Formats: sequence, C-alpha cells, structure tokens
Amino acid sequence: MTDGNPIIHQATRLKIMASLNRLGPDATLDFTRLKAILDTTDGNLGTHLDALEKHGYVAVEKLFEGRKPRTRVKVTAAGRRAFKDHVAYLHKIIDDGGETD
Amino acid sequence: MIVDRADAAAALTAIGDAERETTRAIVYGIASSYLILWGVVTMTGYVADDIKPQYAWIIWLVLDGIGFAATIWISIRNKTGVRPDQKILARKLLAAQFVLVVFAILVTNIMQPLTARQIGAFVPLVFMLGYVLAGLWFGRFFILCGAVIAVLTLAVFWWAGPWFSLDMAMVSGGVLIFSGLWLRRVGASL
Repeated sequence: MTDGNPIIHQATRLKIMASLNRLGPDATLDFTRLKAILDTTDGNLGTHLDALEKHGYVAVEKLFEGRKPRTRVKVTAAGRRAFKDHVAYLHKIIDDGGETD
Repeated sequence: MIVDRADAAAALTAIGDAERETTRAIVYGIASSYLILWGVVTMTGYVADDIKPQYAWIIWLVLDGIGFAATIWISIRNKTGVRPDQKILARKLLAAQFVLVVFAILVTNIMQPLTARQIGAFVPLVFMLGYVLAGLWFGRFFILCGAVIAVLTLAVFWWAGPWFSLDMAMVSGGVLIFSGLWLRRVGASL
C-alpha cells in the first residue's frame, strides 16, 4: 500500500484511469468515445490526458484512418500499477474510517 | 494530499460509474460484429428457405457452421482487447448460445411433427429469449432488440401468409444487422 496519488485523484483523471483500466492489455480507446463515456469536453479531456501522459500513466497515439485524424489512448503498465495502488489507498481510508495526508 | 472518508467514497463511486460505462461501451462494440454476422447469416438462410425450401436443413446447417466459425474468429481477433475476466464472460456467453442451440434442437425434435414455418419462428424466439436475458446484465439495448424481433416474429408467423421466409429475412436478419450497425456507432472499437 502506498500513499494516495494526487495526479490520479483529480476527478476527471480518476475517471480516465478507471475507464482505460477496463481495457485489455493491448487495447486502445478512441478519444471521442472516451469523451462520450466520461461526458466531458474536448478541451477538458485533452488537458487531463496531457497531464497523465507527462507522468507516464497513459500513452496517446495520433494516427490517420484514410484522411481522417484519429487519437487513440491506452493506459501504460505504470498507469495500471499507480491506479491499482490508488484504489487500494481509497479502500483503506474507507476501511479505517479515518483521514489521511 | 488530504482525503477523508467522504472523498474516498465519492472517488470510488466515480470509479465504479466510469468502469460501468466503459464496460457497456466495450460490450456494445464487440457485440456489434456478432449481430451483423448473425444478421447476415439469418437473412441469407431465410432467403434461401424461400428459394430452395427442399434444401432448408442443409442450407441452415452450412450457414450456422459458417456463423459459429466466424464467431470464434471474431472472438480470437478481440482477445487482446479485453481483460481476462471479460474473456471468461465472453466464453460463458458463447456457451450460453450453444446451450440455446441444443435446447432448440431438442424441443423441435420432441414436438414433431412441426411445420417449417413453426420451426422458422420458434428458433429465433429461443434466441431472442437469450438476448432479453443477456440484456438484464449487459444493457437495455439487448432487451429492446430481443423484444422487437420476438414481437415481429410472432406477427410474421401469424400474418405473413406465403411471404413468411422473406418477411423473416427482413425481420430477424434485418433488425440484427441494423442493431449491429447502431451498436457500432455507440460502442467502443478496441
């Protein structure tokens, strides 16, 4: 068990990580589909994906399908570990009934 | 970072919601391929029924064989996109589909003599029961799809007259293909 992760704990980033963590090991999710799942805006999602990518938690891939640009996102192994640790940390707070810093 | 119990509970709820929405998108995305596949198989079968009714059994046997082979191929193609727990679920769904096939064969066997029209309506009704049951776990869309096809199947059975096979091609095959295309729009491609 580690301490909480302030990068992941932010509301939108937490949902991004939860969503991408549901994918299989080699799967990627389309940016627009992720936006619909999280019910957020292009700008908000892009900003938080940048932050997660900077910390190595997600990988963002830009490609072309025909002439149409596509952005696909996946969680990295480090991202999965960090998310798992953060979820364990949240459960620990609930179980202990206390507050942590 | 300070997180109290209420924050932690709210965060876990948000995680649960995001996971549920994502799982639904994954299921819809994967299911779209199967619905289009079985829509094409069903439509082809009923059209062939109408053109060559004397070869109905062999035609359906060949088409179902192709359908199951393609189902396995799609499953293998998707396997790296889903997590181990989702793979187990997919295998259970495949097994459930197999059980429905065996059930339909056994019932049509003990209820003989049945007309081709009765069998042609009964088999899709059994499969639509499966769709409705699956919908209880995987999303209301499957309940709607199963219910619509079941009701239309009954309507065709009673009122289609000599156009039964062609109407079933549209009702059963057409609705499955349309549903698959719609799921492709709202589901996640991995």
